[in-house]
Amino acid sequence: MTQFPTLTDIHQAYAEGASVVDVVTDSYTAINTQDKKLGAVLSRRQEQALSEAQAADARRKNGQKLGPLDGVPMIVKDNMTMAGEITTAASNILKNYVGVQTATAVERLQSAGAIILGKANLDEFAMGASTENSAYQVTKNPWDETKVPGGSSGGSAVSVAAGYVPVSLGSDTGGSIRQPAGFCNLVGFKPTYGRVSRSGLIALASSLDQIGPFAHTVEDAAAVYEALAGCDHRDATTSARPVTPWTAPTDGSLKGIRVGVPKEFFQDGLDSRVKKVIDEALTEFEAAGAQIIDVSLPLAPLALAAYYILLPAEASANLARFDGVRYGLSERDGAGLREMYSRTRGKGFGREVQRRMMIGTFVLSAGYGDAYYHQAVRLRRSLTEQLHQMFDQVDVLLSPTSPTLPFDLGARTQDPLSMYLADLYTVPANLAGIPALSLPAGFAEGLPVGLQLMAAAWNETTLFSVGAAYQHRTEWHTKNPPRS
Amino acid sequence: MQITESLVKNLAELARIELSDAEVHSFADQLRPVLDFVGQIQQAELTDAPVDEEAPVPLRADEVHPFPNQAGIIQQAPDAQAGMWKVDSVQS
Repeated sequence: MTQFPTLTDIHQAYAEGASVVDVVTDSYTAINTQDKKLGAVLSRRQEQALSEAQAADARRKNGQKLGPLDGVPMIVKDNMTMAGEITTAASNILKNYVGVQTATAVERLQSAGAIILGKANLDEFAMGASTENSAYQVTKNPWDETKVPGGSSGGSAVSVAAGYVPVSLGSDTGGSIRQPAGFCNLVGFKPTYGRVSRSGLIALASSLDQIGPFAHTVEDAAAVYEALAGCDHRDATTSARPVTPWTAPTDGSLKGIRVGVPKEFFQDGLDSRVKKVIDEALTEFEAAGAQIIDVSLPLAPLALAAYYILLPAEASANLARFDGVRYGLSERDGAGLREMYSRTRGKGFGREVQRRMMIGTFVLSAGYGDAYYHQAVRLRRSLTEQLHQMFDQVDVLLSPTSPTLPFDLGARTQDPLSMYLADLYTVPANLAGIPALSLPAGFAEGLPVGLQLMAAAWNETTLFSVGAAYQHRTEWHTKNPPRS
Repeated sequence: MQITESLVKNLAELARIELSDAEVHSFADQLRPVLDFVGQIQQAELTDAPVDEEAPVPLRADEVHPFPNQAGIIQQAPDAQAGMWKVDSVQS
């Protein structure tokens, strides 16, 4: 099988007589050969996966075939639980935590026939933009091993970019799927808030988190999305709205599509090398027949400030459960309950997590809550309204995914604010709950550059159609890093 | 807005996170620029949301379904007894 398979390649292998056991074994070979170097995978479930593969082979031999994910090897971010298996959220506080129920999203993949090979590395509790905050290991960018793969879903991104699996699952709260997708030359997709169940996803910020796919192509990302999307009685924030079926376009025409380019996403802070690639992509959009419209989102420059108030606030509430009482690390020797809480969290949480717990506590505290938290809520509502109105005038908004090229490992770890700035263009979609897609758009100095598209809530199919048309006209998504 | 070590100690106490004096000092240095940055939000003149009629939330039937893996839950307990979590009293 090819070194960097897409779903099409997997289907081809099956058409040529490969077994699921063969395909799964090949994937593990790829992991075992490369991951010592790249560090994307935290845990493998080789025995279970091979046993599931054998069962899949028996089922398929009996004529029972499922859809496009049948027999497809996948890796999921280690903040999604699987029953009977360890989920760490890349934290020491959950080092030996065994999942009690499989996350709905993972269950749906398994029902669709996907074989989960293992769990991917992430920034601890999904807090970060480089995967360097993992308590366990560093993940490297296969395009340049001195660079970060992005975060927080860096392991999931590298699992696809390095060719272990054709598709993987990540989660996105402020850009944690899109930004690593951009840094690793992949398609990364964040659905509309409420489109995919968060049941079994270890919560970071409950009003911002969404699960979504990494893939090489828009078609593959859409196939994973369709297996995940839909109402779930275990997550009251999921929508009962029916999932719109999507058909891939047959050509690269963007005639009739109105593309808004918000000027605030092209100002200070944007690296000129990234801007050059995005400008060239815009030329391609125009050549494809799209109408390019200059627009303005006046509240966009404050979106990051709002995000770094709302996220820590929600996270500080969500992570209060890690207290040594019911599961996880529990520092019980010595005096009483409060010491147990403080020692457990002092020892079990990494620095970035502790920082965000304190920021969250601060912005919610008496005397500061109105100026910080409530003001951020007001900004969020106004920004959402601005975006909503914008989609009356345009079909999609286009911007760079990240303001910079993939940065060096270690470059931002001493300066938390510099790391937060990586999320500049991605947070608005989470704040407004709208779907967003990152697509490979080219290279600068040998490093991938991602282009971001956003659409109105529930318009996933618009994003897929525009993205797939762009991929008809370009070849960036077919490029793969050198295999060493 | 003054991010003093005393403020950081108070935040750590509220968040139930034990920190050494060196950690308090280092966090104070790191939190200052972050809180300055997010403090920019005060520049915007914004209003509270008008009270909206809420879209009806579809409710499901109020039926009890036993959780299928209660044993799995208690197995995680750092200390358990008779199927219950065991922990120090809040009185101590």
